[in-house]
Amino acid sequence: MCISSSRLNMVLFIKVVLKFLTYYSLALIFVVLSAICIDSFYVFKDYEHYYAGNQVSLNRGVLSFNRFNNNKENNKYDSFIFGSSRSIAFKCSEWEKYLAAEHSSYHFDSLGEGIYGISIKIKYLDSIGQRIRNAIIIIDQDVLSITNNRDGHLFIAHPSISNESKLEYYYTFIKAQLNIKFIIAQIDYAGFKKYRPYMSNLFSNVSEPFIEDPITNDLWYGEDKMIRDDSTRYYDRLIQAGVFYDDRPQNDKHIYDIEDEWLLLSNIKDIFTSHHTQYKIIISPLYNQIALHEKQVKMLEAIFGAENIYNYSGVNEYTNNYGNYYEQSHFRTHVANQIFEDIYQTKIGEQEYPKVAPYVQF
Amino acid sequence: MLFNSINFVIFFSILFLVYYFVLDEKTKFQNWLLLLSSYFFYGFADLKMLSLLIGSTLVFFYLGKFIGAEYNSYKSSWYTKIAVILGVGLLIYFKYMNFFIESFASLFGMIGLRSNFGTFNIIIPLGISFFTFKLISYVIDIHRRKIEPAEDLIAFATYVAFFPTIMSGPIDRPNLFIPQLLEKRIFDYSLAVDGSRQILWGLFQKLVIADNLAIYTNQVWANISDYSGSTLLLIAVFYAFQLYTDFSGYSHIAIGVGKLLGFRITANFNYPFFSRDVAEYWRKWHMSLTSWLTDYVFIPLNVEFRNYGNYGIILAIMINMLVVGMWHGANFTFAVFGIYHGLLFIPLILSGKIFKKSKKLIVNRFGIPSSEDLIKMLSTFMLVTLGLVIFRAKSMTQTLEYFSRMFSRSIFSIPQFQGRLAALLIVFGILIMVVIEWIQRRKDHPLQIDSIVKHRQLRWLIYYTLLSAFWFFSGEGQQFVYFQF
Repeated sequence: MCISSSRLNMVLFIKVVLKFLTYYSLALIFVVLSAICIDSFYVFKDYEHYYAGNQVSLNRGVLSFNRFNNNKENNKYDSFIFGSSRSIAFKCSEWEKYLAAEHSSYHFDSLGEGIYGISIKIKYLDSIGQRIRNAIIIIDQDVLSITNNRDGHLFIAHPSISNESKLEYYYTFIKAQLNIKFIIAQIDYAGFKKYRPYMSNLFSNVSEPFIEDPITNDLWYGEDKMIRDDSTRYYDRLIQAGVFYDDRPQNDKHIYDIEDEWLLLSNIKDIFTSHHTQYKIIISPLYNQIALHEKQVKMLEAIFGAENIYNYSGVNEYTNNYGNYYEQSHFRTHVANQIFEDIYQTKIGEQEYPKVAPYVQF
Repeated sequence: MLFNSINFVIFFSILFLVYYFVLDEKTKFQNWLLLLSSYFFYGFADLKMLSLLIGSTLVFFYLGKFIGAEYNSYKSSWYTKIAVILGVGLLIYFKYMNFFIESFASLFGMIGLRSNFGTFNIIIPLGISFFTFKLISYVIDIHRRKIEPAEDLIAFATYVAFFPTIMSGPIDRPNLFIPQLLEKRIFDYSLAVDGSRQILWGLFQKLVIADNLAIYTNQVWANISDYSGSTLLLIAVFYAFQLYTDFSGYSHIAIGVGKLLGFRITANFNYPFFSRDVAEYWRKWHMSLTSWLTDYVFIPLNVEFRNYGNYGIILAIMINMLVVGMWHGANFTFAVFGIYHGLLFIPLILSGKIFKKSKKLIVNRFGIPSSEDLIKMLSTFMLVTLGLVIFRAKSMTQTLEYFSRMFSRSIFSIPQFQGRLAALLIVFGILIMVVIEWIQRRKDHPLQIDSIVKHRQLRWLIYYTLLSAFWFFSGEGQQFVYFQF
């Protein structure tokens, strides 16, 4: 049989490429296996506690999913809090005070969560036959603006929820773990136990550990203890660093295309309707004092009903007071507790905002 | 499906094996496979617009035939005009319609007239700027009798939709590419090895340099007002390198993929940052676009204005550069970007240097250029960098804000931005890249190292180092910048 020179050349080429890749793969497999064993981002194995002794920034969405998956058989969850890191202020333990005794709640948040992430989580719960009796969605402009799965190891959604490639998902974490900046930061932090500015997004810059509830997935930031110990020192440091800026924009002049948001929110509403869910949509009190765009508020009211929308954005007693915030982005737990009290008693607009002291202690 | 995605690796591996193992030397079947793969590749990204691609391919194929059949008749000219209007019309409709409507509405508003112009909900098809240019050059070249009309529809359609180049070029010319589709393709070992190296270099540019720079440029461009003049200057330089490595990286990968399939695709970059004036820069930057526009816009205009001396050349250059700018998108910033570059040509036109071949670069025994050449390179680079600020800005207001903040007293301060120390790593990466490119500036791509690195083991070590850099230094995945054009 005559084999053409073209084919012989190609076979030779493939052999050389395979040889080249085999040598490389052997080294790479060793490195990748080491990364999986070290598991800096807590994604390759199951854990009960994620924050004990750990200062590495984690993908909260994946953590929430894994914890939920591990606990769902033993804890008959039927009430959920959805939102971004800003929703951390809302605690299931506090919420359950307003729910009937038979309900069991879970905090299903993600870092940098968007309306896309919330929608696929709810769709996932529906698809596995999970009951959703009560739901709270913590929303803001940032949450509404994210209508696609996000890239990056801190934000990528678990493939069981997103139905996207598992390979891409794990590749994202391995790549992040092998990134030279992360490796240097990890060695530096292990050696000196000190946070440095270049470690932002990789390590927590809070010296105090986070406290977590392994059942409800509630989280207490390390800042809580720092404020409790010496609130004056805590806020003075942030004020000096210019974190609490004065010239807050208050008005949002953007014109939003809400087509994608509308679709995702409608999907959520449909699932809530089929589950007869008691839901409340809370629009976060953000320090920037930008009121959620009227177009978006109307959209939310049209989809979920005005009676279920609680708008705390814009200028109000919460947002006027920097003591209600950990920094310029996240409001504190006492604000969330107050909001719980408000929304389970009176509809917003019918009541006055309570005055919250700047240095409220826990 | 990005070149740097796992999906593409799987897609291309299957295609490569079927292409050579099953369809070895069966040119027609190989073309069919390339065409179907190209449509799959395009449809994967933009299924809705696949019909537009197929439809316009069919229309231009038959228009080409009509033009060819009527060479000696006035009809040839008419068919060519219809084809050009159709091609340009497609571009205008999809890319510029809303821009024109909004601009007219603002113009009427400025003179106190109220207008009720509504914009259309138009989705811009991916790669439209690239494939329409291929179609237009095809019919013009037939009209100019540079090529014969294609006989083989599949070969023609493959030329238009060829997957490595459809999204972001290079814009291949029909006289160079279609004949390759008609020839028997024998697997060329050297070409395949060279293509693989070129892909590796392209991936290094994209994943290690461009994606890492994007982290800093995106961060600063999102809040210009928060940063000092020196930071903005540094970020402008970063953006110049980001855009270059992003687009040049893409082009290297596309050309490399083409080589693996047995094709020689037009080069797109020739180390543009070593240019000593703007004319040389444009001969080395996005070469397939600039040569296209030179042939089909500048030269005809220059002939048209030949009686006006230097003024005619200036006018032709200004129009040409305006088209270069506007080709990138429907925004006044792109128009101003084009005009800015047009203005930079004027001293060269007036001094008569524009049509002169650049002097040969002379280097000393250490390979370092003369101080005069070095100053010229740096000043050209800075002029280009300033132009790219206009290019990157979303609006002229943002451009002006950027420049006013950059050229303030704070330009003398130390740059401050998040991750500043980590950025030193990427600066180091840029320096290494620039040095390698300088050493290899006469080669098609910097990894053509056979003549300087004789030992295979050493060459492999270099490849392994680059591959490892993808893991250890790669930034967060960013789409190729030129996909938007």
